[in-house]
Order: sequence, then C-alpha cells, then structure tokens
Amino acid sequence: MITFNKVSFSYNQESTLNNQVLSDFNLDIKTGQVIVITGESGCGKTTVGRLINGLSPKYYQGILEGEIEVCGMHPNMQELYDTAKVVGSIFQNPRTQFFNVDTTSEITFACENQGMDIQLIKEKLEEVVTDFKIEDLLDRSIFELSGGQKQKIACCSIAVADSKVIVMDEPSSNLDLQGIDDLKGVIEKWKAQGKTLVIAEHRLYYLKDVADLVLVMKDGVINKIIDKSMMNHLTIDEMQKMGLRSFSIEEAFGGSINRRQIFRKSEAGYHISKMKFSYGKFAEAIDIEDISLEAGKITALVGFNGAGKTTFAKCLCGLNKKSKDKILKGKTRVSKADRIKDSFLVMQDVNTELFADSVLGEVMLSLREKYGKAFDESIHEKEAVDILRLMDLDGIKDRHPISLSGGQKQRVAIASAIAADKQLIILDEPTSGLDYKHMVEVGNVMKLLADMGKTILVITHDIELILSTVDNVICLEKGKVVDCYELTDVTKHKLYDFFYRVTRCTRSDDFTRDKVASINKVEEYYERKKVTN
Amino acid sequence: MFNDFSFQGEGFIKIDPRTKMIIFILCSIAALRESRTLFQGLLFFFTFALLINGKQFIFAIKMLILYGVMIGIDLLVMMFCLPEALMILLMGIRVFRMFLPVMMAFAIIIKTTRVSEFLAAFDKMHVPEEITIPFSVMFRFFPTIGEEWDNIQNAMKFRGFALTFKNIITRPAFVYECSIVPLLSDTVLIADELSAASLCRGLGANTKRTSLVEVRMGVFDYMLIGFAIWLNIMSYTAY
Repeated sequence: MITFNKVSFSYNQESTLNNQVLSDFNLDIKTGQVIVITGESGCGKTTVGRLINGLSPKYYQGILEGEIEVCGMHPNMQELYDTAKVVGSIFQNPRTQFFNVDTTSEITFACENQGMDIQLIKEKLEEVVTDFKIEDLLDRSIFELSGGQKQKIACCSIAVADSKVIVMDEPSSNLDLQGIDDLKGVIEKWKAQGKTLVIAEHRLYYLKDVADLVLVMKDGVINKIIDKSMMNHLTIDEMQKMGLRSFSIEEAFGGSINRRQIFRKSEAGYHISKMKFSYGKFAEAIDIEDISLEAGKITALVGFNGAGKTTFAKCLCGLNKKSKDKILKGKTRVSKADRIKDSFLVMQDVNTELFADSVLGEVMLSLREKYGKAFDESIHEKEAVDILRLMDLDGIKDRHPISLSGGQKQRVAIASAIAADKQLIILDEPTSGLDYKHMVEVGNVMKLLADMGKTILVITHDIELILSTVDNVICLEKGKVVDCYELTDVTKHKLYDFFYRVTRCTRSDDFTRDKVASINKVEEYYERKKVTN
Repeated sequence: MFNDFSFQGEGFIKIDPRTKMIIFILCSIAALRESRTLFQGLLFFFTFALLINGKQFIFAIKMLILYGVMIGIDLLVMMFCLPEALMILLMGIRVFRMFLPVMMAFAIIIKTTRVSEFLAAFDKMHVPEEITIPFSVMFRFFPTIGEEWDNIQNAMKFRGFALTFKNIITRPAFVYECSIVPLLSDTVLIADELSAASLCRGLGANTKRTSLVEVRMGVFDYMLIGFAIWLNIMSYTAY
C-alpha cells in the first residue's frame, strides 16, 4: 500500500547528511494497517506524514531522494489535488485546518473540490452524520466549537471523501480525555473499514488497542519497532528511557508519587473567595466559593473542556473585567489591576506573547518596565543574562524568538515573567503535544519557579505531568470547584476517579441522546428515499 | 472586538452573496455623495432593515442607538449655536455618521455569508480561481485575526505595555510595534498552515467545483438592488 524505498529528505536546498530530516528511510505498510510513528520532537515523524500526503516536497519544499509509492501513485511527482483523492489528512491544530467557517461546508469541502455530483455529496453527508452522530454540530460556526468537536468535524470531512489512506499529525494534542476517547472510536471504526492509517503521535495509551505497529524514530531513521506483544511488556521505565510516553494510564498511576521538598514558604499565597462570572444571561460560568493557592507550590487545575478552566484563569489574573471576586494575597486584598501586574499567563499559543527581536531583548523589555526610569541597559543586561541562564536559554540569547521551538518559546515567556518579578504564574496546557522528555523539562521549570517561592497554577489534561510534578489538585466542573486536595499516594485514586468518572457519565449521556437523534435521522432519510423511488 | 466578525447564521429571507456585494458598493457610493440628513437616514434604515433580516438584532440595535445619539448631538449643537471649537468635533461625528451605513453593509456581508457561498457565487460569475480563493481566505481570516489580536492585547497587559490611552500618547511607536509585529508573524504562520490544509483537501483541482449550497438571485435580490440604485440616482437630483 505505502512503500518508502531509501528515502532521504531535507528541507534545505542542499541535501547533506547533517540537515536531512529523513535519511535512508525504508517503510512498508500493508493495506488496512494502523501504524503509529512516535519519537522525540524533530525526529522526522511529521515529515513522513507530509511525504505521504504530498505536502513535502510539493508545498514544504526540499530535496527528496529515493522512491515513495502510495496506492500505486507517486505523491512527489503529481499534483496535490490528485493525491488528495486517495489520502486524507488530519492536522495537529484544529484552528488552522478549516478552510470554511461553518461546519457543514467544511465536511463537504473535499467532495466539492473534486467536483462530485451534488446528490452524491448529500447522500454521503447523511451517511457520515448518522455514522458519527453529529446532528447537533451541523451548520454551526467553527469558532464556537470546542477542540474535540473541531477534531470530530475534521474526521468527518475525511470520512465523506472516502480516502483509502489517512494521515494524522498529532491529532490528540488539543483534546481532553473525552475527546481522545471519541478519536479512538473513530480510528477503530476506520480500521474496521479497512482503511490504512498512519498516525504521528506522542500520546500512545489510546492507540495501544488499535495500533498494529509502533515505530519509534530517532534522527530520521526508525530506531525501534514495537509490535503488539511488545506493547504489553514494555515497562514505564523502559519507555521513559526512550523518551516516550507510556502505553497505559493505569500503569502511570501505579508508580508512587515523589513529594517535592518545599524550600520556602515565606511568600504569601492567594486566597480566592466568592468569585462569580457569567457570560451574559446564561448560567454562571464561574462560581467559586472559597479556594486557596499556596505560594511555593504547584497547583493543577483539572476539568474537562468547557468546565471553565481558562475562564477561571483569566478571572484570577484580572484580565476578566466583569468578574466579581474577593482575592486576598496574604492578608491584603488585591484589585484586578494589581493582579495583572503581579501575574503572568503562559498561553497555549505562546507566539502572541513575544514582542522583542531577540531572546535577550525579550527579558530586557520586562526589566525596562520593572525599573522604569532607573533602567540602565549596561547594568541590567547582567541580570537578564542571569535569568536566561536559569532558564537554560543563555546559549540562544541572540536568536529571534520566532525561530525557536515551541518549548523554547515557552521558556522565553517564563523568563520574561521572572524578570518582571511576577508572583503568580499560570500555564495553560503547557505540555500539549510534547514528548516525554520535553514534558519533564516543562515540569522541571515549574518546580524551579515554585522553589523561587512563586505561586504556580497549571491548567492541564496531561496525567503524566500532574503525577510527576504537581503538589495540589483542584477539580473544576461546570465552573464549580468539586474537589481540592494535596496529591499523595493516598489521594491519587481521587484524580483517577475524577478523570474516568466524568468520561463515563458524560459519554453515556451523549450516547443516549445521539442514538435517538440518529435513529430519527435514519428514518427521515428512508422516508425521503421512498418518496423519490 | 473582531470576534463576531464571522458567519453567524442565515437571515429570514436569504440574500444572494452577489446582491450583498453590489449593495455594499452602491451604499458606499451613495453614502459619500449624499449630504442631506433625510437621505442619509434613508440609507441607514435600509442597511438597518437588512441587518434585522440577517437576524443581527443586537448589532443592529447598537448601531441604531449610536446613530440616534449622533443625530441628537447634531440637533443640540444646532439649537444652542455652540462655539467654533466644538464644530470640529461635530464634523468628526458627521463623517462617522456618513460611514456608518457602509460599515453596516460590510457587516451584512461578513456575518450572514458562508465561505462556501462566496466560492459558489464567484463561480457563477465565472471569476477565475486566482481571485476567488484569496478573497474567500480573506473572509475566513477576519475572526482569526480577531482572536490573535485579543491574545496579543492580553499579553501586552501582563507585560506592562497595554494599549492604554497613556501608552498611546507617550510611546505610540512602541505599542504599535508590539501589537502589529506579533500579529503579522502569527497570521503568516496561520495562513501557511491553512493553505497546506486546504491543498490537502483538493482545493484548486482542475475539475469544475460543485457546491452543496445553492446561490440564486431571486425577486427579493433584484428589489434590493433596485432600491440601492434608486438611492444613488436620488443623490444626483437637485438640491
């Protein structure tokens, strides 16, 4: 079905051994197989996907050697729209993979581009709608959908086009556990239909049951092939040594939690009481009675998409002007304006948080704001360099922030927060789409910040991150705090229960509703068929 | 701020995207030519009615209140013969009032038209794809730019150089640079990924595109265009 024969690829115009993303890469995938490609960031797994759907070298240009064959075609030698008839692609970022702004047009987009007959498109649409149970998502604006819903629409648009081969590039990185569960269902369905799937992914636990082979890549070559039997035998330690995430969440919960030594407790933490916020006339989006964030500790805020985590974070750091709250820092009440000065939100998309033209400049910007008139470039440059050294960025201090990797950008943003002497640092999904090694790095940065006495709040779905770094956990559900505890070996089952209970109960509700809706839809469809016949 | 500048839903009576574009152009011309309050009001209520038809109630009512306030100020100034200095302010308000219907006509295009309707309408007009695709990407982009803008403004607040009145006055170049540079670099990245995704879905194939949404000019469309033309003709009549 898909063969790579001695393929080398380089994004530069001159191909040397040093800049090759893939070198002498061989692969043979049979029809109906589900292949998962994993490995550290930059190992070339995304490029394998791009070579299959033709984006490299047709769109992302580079030098290709060797031979690629997909369904008897050569994607590197034909137009992209011809490859698109056979290969469907799902990308990492749901924000940028939609051409349309409404869901229905997006689903039928590929068919329309192929010039398919309208009647046929309609039939296929009906089929997919009942198949994926998405009646309630039809004809909506994509901007009001959650990440999981967007990814579902992306899957539907592939299903409509009937692609034989499906390439996915980190499809789970913006999903919560429920969304991942849905995605797994879709992958199982496609596997049953005999489609060939190539999935580049860091999170492996949800693919364990469906994957035929897991290929571990390193520096552009396949380093290790894990087959079905090996997946069950590999221990967490062995996986972590390879820089990979674990195959089973249960196993991750099995390890014991290393309590972090708390060095300093001098700084005052935050105490939030009576926080209320609502979007217009709807029910309260945030309704929090009483909660504390301790200084020098890392607190995880968990909850499912739409639970109000990001909204809570925005209220907490004072961005949300309309929220009502009473927040104490130590014993003094802090206003919204004070909170903005005193806090920093590391957003999921860090690009919008960097302003200067070099890494050093970024930190200097913060220092200039902090010292105001007393700022002196020559004196404070030393302070900036010290901060960069702390964040392990001193080697790249002259690089432009845009040229850095996602993790490095994150650290630059955090460095600027340290320079501005921020006390409350909030991180929104800092490890989505990161491999094990980089996840640990983010965890270490958080620990470092906590040791400096700062209050850390991290919004995350990443169970491995929570288990390895976090001190306290706050569970949020529909804008309310449902639980709040110190994470120890005794309390970790609570976390497990929280994630899985919510998954199960919301899913079952969804299922019954969707089932009724899809039965109605099917009956309606057959009624119409009768009339036309 | 820009976030609601995207497709929000269909109106009561569906208007063809071509009609909307023609009305936008005709309204712009009429708005610039017309200085009589009565006809300006007529133009305003024409676009207001179209917004109501497009179910953009909240936006329409906001515009109505804004218009009312501006007329009110105008009347007050006329009645009390206020000093010269205030006249400059009044001029500003009048110019803004002139452009209000144009803005509303533009909002109608963006808020009630799907990207796929644009593609279909352009296709019917036999516009080549080289023009169609960039144009529809542009409409796809407004809300995205809005989201990015909000994020950048939030980040600037944390960093201490928010887009406040004080900062705009004391260091305009700096805050301008901080808002625009990340916006540009980020939208370039998004555009890049967006084009890659759409190419993977077969956009630009040499076969003729079909479209699930139908666009057709109806009687209502011709009536609207007729009215817009009449407004333009009226602007040529003697004072």
